[in-house]
Amino acid sequence: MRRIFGFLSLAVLGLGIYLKVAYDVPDSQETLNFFVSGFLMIIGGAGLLINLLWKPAGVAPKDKE
Amino acid sequence: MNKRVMVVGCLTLVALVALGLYSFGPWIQGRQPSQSIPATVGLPVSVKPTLEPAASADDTPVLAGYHNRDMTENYYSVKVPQQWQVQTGKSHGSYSFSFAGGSGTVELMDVPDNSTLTLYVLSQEEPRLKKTLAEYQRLDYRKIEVDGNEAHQLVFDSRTDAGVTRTVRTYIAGQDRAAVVTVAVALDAFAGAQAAFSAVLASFRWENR
Repeated sequence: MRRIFGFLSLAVLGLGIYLKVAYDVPDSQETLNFFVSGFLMIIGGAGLLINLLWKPAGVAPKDKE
Repeated sequence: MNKRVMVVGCLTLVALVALGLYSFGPWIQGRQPSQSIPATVGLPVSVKPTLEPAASADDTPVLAGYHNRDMTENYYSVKVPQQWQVQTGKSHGSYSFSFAGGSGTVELMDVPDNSTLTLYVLSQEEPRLKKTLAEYQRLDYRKIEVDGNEAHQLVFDSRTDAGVTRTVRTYIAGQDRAAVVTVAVALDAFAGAQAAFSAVLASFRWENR
């Protein structure tokens, strides 16, 4: 689950960077592109960071025994 | 929940709000100066001409220079005869001008990355002109150079309310966008205006090469 979340975050971050750097923005859509690419990069970056910082949940009662 | 994760979540929310405000907030107008300033209020910097010294040749008009800084990758300058009336155009980074018997524009045009200027002019622009202009008739198409840049020039006649108009439309390749210099004049006045048209085109410069 954690690995899937990490891959998704990476994909979102990659899409944001693509829109920011490589996408040919149509005339008069620069503001929207700025917002969407920024949004995706922030979400993707935060997702990756959360993925790295997340501590595994406490040990399950079954394992305690 | 993990404290550090909560901190990251909060910072993310703050960043998103800041991004939204920066993108669509009230100060956005400050980043797009020329579109919102009407010509009657006062000319923006890009429409204040820098005067050129008087021309030496008899038929060469005295030119006034305009420096456009609307698009970061497409700063340009162009000079037009002093008598012509110049205003900021409808689109970002453009000028429109009028003179006795004719009018014109200098504008920036987005050429898709998957196309070339030649292909775009012939496959998109000319068909569009044919559709939108009455009695469009191409007189000439040629590849030229403007200040060392690849350029394509279309010369055509079309019918307007005032009669037949001859238009010279020049597409100049640029770093991000292409520039389109258009001058249109009544057919009978075309010969007399050609020197001015050539001077305008020859004065065009990309400024951030």
